[in-house]
Amino acid sequence: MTGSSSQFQQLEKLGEGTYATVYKGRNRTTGTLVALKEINLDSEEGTPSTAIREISLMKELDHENIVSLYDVIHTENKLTLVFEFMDKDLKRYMEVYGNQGALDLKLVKSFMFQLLKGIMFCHDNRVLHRDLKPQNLLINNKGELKLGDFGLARAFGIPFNTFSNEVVTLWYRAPDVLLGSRAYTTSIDIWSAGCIFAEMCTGKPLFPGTANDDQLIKIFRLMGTPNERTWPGISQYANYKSNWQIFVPQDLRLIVPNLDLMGLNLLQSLLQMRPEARITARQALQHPWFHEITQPNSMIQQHHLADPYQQQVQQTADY
Amino acid sequence: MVVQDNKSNSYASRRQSNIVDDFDDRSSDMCPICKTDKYLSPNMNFLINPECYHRICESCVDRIFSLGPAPCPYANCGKILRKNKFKQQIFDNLSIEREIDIRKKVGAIYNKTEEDFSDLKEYNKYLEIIEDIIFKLNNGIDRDQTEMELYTYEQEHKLEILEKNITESQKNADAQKYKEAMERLRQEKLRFEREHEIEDLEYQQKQQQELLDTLTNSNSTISAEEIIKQQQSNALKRASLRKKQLQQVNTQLEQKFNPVYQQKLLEQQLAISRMPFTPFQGDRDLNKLYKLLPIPNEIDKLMDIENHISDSYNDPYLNKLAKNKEYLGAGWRLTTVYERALDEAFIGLGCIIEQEKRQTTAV
Amino acid sequence: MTEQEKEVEEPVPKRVTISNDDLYRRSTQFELWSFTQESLDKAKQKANKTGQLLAQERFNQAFNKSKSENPELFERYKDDELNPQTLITLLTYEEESKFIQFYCQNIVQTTDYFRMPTQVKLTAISLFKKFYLINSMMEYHPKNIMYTSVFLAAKSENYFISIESFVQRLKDVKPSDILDLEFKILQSLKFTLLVHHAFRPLYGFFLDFQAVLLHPSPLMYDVSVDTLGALYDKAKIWLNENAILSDVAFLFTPPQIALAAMYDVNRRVTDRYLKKKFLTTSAVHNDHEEIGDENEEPTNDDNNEIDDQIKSERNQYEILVRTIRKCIRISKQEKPTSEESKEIDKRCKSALSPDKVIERKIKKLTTSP
Repeated sequence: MTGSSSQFQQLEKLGEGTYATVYKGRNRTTGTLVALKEINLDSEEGTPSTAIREISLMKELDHENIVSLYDVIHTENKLTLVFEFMDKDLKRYMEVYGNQGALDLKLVKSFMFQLLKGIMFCHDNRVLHRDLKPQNLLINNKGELKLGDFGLARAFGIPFNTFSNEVVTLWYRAPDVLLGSRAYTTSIDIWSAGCIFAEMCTGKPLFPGTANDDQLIKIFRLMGTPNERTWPGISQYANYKSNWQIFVPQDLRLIVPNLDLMGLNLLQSLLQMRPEARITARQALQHPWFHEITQPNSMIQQHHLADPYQQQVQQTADY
Repeated sequence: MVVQDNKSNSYASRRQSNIVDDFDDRSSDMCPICKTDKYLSPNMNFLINPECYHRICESCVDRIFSLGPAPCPYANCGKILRKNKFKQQIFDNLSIEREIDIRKKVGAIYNKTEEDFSDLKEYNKYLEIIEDIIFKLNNGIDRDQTEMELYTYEQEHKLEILEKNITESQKNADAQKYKEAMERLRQEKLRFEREHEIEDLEYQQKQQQELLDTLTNSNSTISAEEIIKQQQSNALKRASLRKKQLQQVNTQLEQKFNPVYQQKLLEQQLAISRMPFTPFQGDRDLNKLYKLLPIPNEIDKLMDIENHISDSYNDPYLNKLAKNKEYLGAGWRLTTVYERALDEAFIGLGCIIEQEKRQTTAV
Repeated sequence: MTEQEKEVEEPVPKRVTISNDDLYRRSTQFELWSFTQESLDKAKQKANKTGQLLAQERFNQAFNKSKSENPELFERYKDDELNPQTLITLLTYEEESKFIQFYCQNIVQTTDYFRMPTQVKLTAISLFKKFYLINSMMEYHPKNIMYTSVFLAAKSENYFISIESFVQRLKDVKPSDILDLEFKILQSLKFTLLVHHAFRPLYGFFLDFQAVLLHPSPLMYDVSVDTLGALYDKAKIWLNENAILSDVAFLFTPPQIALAAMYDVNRRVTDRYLKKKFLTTSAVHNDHEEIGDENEEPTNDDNNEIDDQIKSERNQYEILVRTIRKCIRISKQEKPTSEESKEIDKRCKSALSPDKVIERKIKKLTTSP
């Protein structure tokens, strides 16, 4: 399975993260473009567990809205993951094609649909992504959106796992996690999806907090300050404070004035404070806002959203 | 030649006397009030007021009307003007400007659209009415009468008009207008209530007066107690009637325009559309191979779970966890656990590896 | 991506239903690590053969080197003591298989000692066994592979333990022993570290047994929630004692293994559950069962359909029961004894270090009178 590093020609650097650097690459034999994620091996602890998690999970998640892992190359001091090449991440895409970052609603709809499909697939396969943000959503020149960077992803089990708090970049972190919850569920990915939805519509991050407490306040400013009555159990959280400034919930229309009533309803269902009130990915995909994509009519053929399960079954059948 | 007096049309006399024609020569670009030339102050802007359509420059408007309503400085006009009604002239031709303003005004009152009518004929009749009114107002025919009719129509159909405004603005997804409409609606409701209150007060006073009169009038055949009783029952009847009226109006309005109610409607729609549709157009087999027993989900039931699971799953270890407030706050629910566990029990149950892997070669 | 373009040209494809079983079929566990008994044996034989070749090569090198250093000695004993055929030690694939199975118990001990969660234990065993489907013990001695498997399983199952604290409590192990092997194991496993074990389906069945056998009213007079709870606990022990040390994880799916546990612990209850669960149509149309077999004149189409349904249900039920029984049989196959294993271990070490074997032999031959 592992190829050699000379198989790929390294082109320009695409980005840098805390534990890996990503380069654009080209397969010397086939000419296909790839993304080379180089991870420095911590000689003390061996292969980083994040890399191991990412690789083992991506091997299980074969879906058109999840970026494909082609190969893993091991050299003396680094590990290179070979991914399918995607032109831009969502953040960059918004900068380039958006109106001051804001995308056309039709595009937002297409991207949200693909995002939710990817999320649904992960959750079906008992994987939490835990780091959804525009930088981790990759878009290719066909307009396909794929979930990338499973470095923080986790397989979850039953009855529950105790998870760490330091998940998801602050701006996209769900309020229950900010409050100190360690027993969060698939709903944390849904909250991130809601934040991304709003950001695509306005071009600006919805809750750009500077620290944990500031993040909470920004959320309260829009969604209203919760209390034991509106959110039973909240007072048990480590970061709960009884002296928060009281904010009244605002109308989401103020934030996304260009979004229609249906879209607003979907956004509201994603951005619920209480985790159990948040819609699931499956339910979100059935929302009427997506009916123009999901109701069968001739428009479907033009869309690149061909049925993924079907595609795969066809592939294995041919195999 | 007869000597012309001040009311002549000579340029000089016009200049002297502040009299201007309705159709002032724009090319002169001079404010007739302050006589400032456009040449001297190129930033000068002209404003007009829909009351009389007299052009006045911005600085004059500021000067004359900032302190409150004042009469129009044009002689022979004298109409009381308000500063906030002044606006830029859009059309060169003042008559068109006038007509547009009238249209706007009438249109705001007669605001129905084609879909409100059962057939085209009715709609056309409606449009004719509008045109009639506009024509009359524009050309000064029966102006007062038409204004009166307009006013009465508006009062009678105030609710309908507001309704229509709201639906229209909703359609246009104009959040701002919607908010304003809702505000106006709220104001209307309040006004209704206030009116009722005042009327009630008056009525009460009248009742009391009646009572006093009857009491003082020794000729009356009815006793004081009887009168009082009568009055009380009348008052009650009236109050309940009022209440009903108010309620009706309230619910009518709320039902149509309360966003919460609309949300509920939406949810109903969503609930209906839940099965059997799947995002992948029906090829995900959602038939679970198990039947899920009812599982308590509300907080109060979960805190007393042992007494609510006679027809449900029983796992002593999980029963303890179900009560943990921290987990509950995090959205952790028994249902999720049980469903997932049951799903896992049946994923792959029907895969007979021995058969399915027969053709494929080993690792 | 080109498939997509093809799709647009073709007519609207037929809707294929994706069942829950299909979900399993798409996992790497099914794709790469599920075998028929035959192909499993073949894989082991292949790994073993590679190992034998390597061991042979190693031996030849050591032998020739020693021979060149002690020509007369080798000449003297070339037919008996220093005969290469007799001197070499190679393991058969059965021996390897037995030893691996035995060695898994060490994994259990290690993970228990470190108080690691069950998931880590099960995944470590799985990684260990899979490694030896590709490689041979004659190339990699199990001891360090075992520790590395545990270390990797801990990482993958999110139970972090630092290499230092891990190695500290182990005998004769230094960090490099483990870290050097890490990538080799990942490579052999093709990085598929996500393993589906039988314990979660077992819990699911514990719940479904309740649903089927107790609600709306108890189906069996002596079966209550407590009976089922006890059954579940015993089944867990059964899995730990039988299934996880055997090869059933390669031959059966996790739900099947879970049911096997229930079945062997209490056949009566499990069978009742299975019948109630899967023979639904037959239960409803009990009278039709008699008629069904000899169908001279089908009275109407409905009957035929129902008969077909009954037949197919019966068929599925029987296949499931057969599968479960087979699983039980294989799980309970005899485990190697520790004497057997010690013997194989010795031979394994010989295969791995033929130079030491030859040295000892030479010493013995030169010191004895």
